Amino acid sequence: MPVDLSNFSQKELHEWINKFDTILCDCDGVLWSYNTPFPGASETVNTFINLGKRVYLVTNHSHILREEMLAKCHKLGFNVKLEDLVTSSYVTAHYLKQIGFNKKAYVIGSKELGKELDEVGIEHIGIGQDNLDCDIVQYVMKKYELDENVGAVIVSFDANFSYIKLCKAVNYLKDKNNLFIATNGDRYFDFPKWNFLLPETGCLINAIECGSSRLATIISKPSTYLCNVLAENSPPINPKKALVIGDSLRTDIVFGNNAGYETLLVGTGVNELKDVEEIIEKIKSGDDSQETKKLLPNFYIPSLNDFHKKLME
Amino acid sequence: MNYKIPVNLSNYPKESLQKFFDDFDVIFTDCDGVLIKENSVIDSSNLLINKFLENGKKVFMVSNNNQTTRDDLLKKCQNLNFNFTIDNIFTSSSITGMYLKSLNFNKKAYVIGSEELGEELTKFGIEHIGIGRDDMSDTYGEYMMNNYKLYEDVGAVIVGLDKFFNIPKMLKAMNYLKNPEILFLATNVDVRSEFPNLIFPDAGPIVASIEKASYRKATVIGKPSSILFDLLKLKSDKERILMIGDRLSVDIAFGKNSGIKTMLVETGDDKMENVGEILRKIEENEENLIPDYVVKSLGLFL
Repeated sequence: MPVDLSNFSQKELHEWINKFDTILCDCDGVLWSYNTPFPGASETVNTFINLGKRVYLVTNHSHILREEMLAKCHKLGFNVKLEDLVTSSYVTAHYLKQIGFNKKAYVIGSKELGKELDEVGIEHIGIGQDNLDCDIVQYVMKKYELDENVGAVIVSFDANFSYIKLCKAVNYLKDKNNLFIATNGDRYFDFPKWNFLLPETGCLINAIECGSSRLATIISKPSTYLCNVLAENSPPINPKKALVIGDSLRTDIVFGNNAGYETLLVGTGVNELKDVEEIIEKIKSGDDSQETKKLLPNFYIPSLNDFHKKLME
Repeated sequence: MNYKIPVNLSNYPKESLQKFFDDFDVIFTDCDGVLIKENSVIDSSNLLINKFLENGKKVFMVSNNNQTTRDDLLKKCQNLNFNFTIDNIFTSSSITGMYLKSLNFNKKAYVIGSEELGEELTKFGIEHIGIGRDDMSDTYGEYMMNNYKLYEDVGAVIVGLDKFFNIPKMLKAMNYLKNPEILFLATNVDVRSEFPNLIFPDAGPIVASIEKASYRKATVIGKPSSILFDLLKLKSDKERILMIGDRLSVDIAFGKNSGIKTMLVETGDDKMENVGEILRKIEENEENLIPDYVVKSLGLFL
C-alpha cells in the first residue's frame, strides 16, 4: 500500500519534502475543480515554490492557452510563472518541433492548439468549421483533393468535429508515413453541477482509429513526452528527486512510474485509496503485469489541505 | 478447433454446379459484390436468383446499407431484372425496425443516422428524433445552455452512418446512454467504403466513438449479427439454408453466427487468399470467418 502522508508528523513531512527538487503537479482534481480552488491547494504549491522547488502545473487539457491558464492561476492565488505551466497542446507542438517535423499538419482541434503550432512554426490546416453541405456522392464527384504536403494528422478536442473531418483524417492516415498524433486521451469532461458529460479527445481518437485501422500516439500523460519538452529550456530533471502529484492512477501515476519519478496520489479527484486497494488485490490474485503495477503510487494523501494544515501546525 | 477447409467449387464440373442449389431451400445473399457491382449485374446473377424464385426457394437479399430505402433498393434491382418483391429485401435500417417491433418498443428513439434510416423506422411505427443537422453556431457553452435537452420518453439510441455526425449528436447520445434502461443499437459496424481515390468512413467509427464516450457496447443489428435470422424464425433445416457473400467478417460471419451454410463469392472484396491467410494462422475467434464453399462467381452456376 502507498505510504499515507497524513500519518506523518510535521517534522517528517518537512524531511520528506526536502527529498525533492522538482514537483510536477496535476491540476483538475488536485488543485481545483474547474474554477473552484480546493482549500489549501494554492498554499501548498506556494510553499513548494518558496522552498526553492521547481514546480510545474501539468494539465492534459488541449483547449487552453498557457497564458489563459496563468491568468486563472494568479486569480486563484497560485504564484506560478508562464514557464511553469504545461498543457498537452504545448507539449504536442514542441515535441513535433523537436523531432524535426517540417511538413503540414491536418488538425482536428481547437484554435488554441492552432496557436501553439503557430508559435513553433508548424503549418496546419483543418481547424474551424467543416460541414458536409451536400450529398456524399456529390462530394466525391466534386473530387475533394487531399493536400500533398500533409505529413501528420493531429487529433485534439474539437467542438467542430464532424463526419467530414473524420473522413479527411482517415484519408490522410491511409499513407502510413503520415504521423498519427493525439494531444490527450481523456474520454469526457464531467460537469456534475449540470449533470451532463461532454465528449473529449478520447472519443474522437476512437472514431479515427476505427476508421483508419491505425493507433494514435498520445502525447499527454501517461506518456513522457513532456519530459523531453521541458528539457529544452531547463536543466534535466533528476528522476531520483522528482515527484508527480496527481488524482488519476491511469494518467498521473502511470506517467510518474514511466518517467522513474516518485508518485503521490491525492484523493480529491478521480481515484481514492480504495482503488489502490483493489489493484493490490488484483496483483495478489495473479495479475502482476507491468501495466497493472504501474498504477500503484508510492505515497497517498487525502487532500492537499491535509498537507497544508500539517505544515501550519 | 471446429472448422473445415472450404470446398472450392470453381473447378467443379458444370453438371454438379447446376444441381448445387437443389440442396438448399433458403438463400440469404449480400448485394454489392455478389449480385451487383456499381450499377450493373455481375455475371448474370439475376438469372440465378430468378431461377431460385421460380423454384419456390425463399430468397433474402440482406444489405448493411442504411443510406438507401428498401423501396429504392428494390427499384434498382428490378431495373436490373431481378424479380424481387419488397419481401425479399432487408437493410440494416429495416431490420432495426423489425427488431424494435419484436420487443414491443413503444417509446421514442434518438437516432444518429440518415433520412432513409428514419423513413424505414417510421414504416415500422417507431417514433424518432435527432435525424438531420444539429449544428452548433454558438460557442460550446451557449449551445449547452440553450439547446441541450434530453427528452424523457426516449427509450433507445440508434446509431448508423450519419454525414451530419458531430459533437452535439455525440453529446446527446452519450448522455441518453447514461441511463442503462435505454437501449443502445447500432445499425451496422462496417468500418469504411473504399472508392478509387477516397475512403468513406461507415457507421463503425461513429459507433466506436459513442461506445467509448458511454462506456457501453452497442447491440449490432446488421451483419454479422444474426438478429435477422433469429427474427425470421424459419422452419427449414439449417443445413438447407445458405448465406452467399463477398466479405468474410460481415457476410460469412453472419452465416456462421446463424448456424447456416456459407459461401464466399470472389466477385467482391474477399478472395480465397484471404481465407488462406486466416487458415495459416487461425486465431481464436476467426473460425467464424471460414466459409463452407468458395466460388469465383455466381455465373458458374448457370
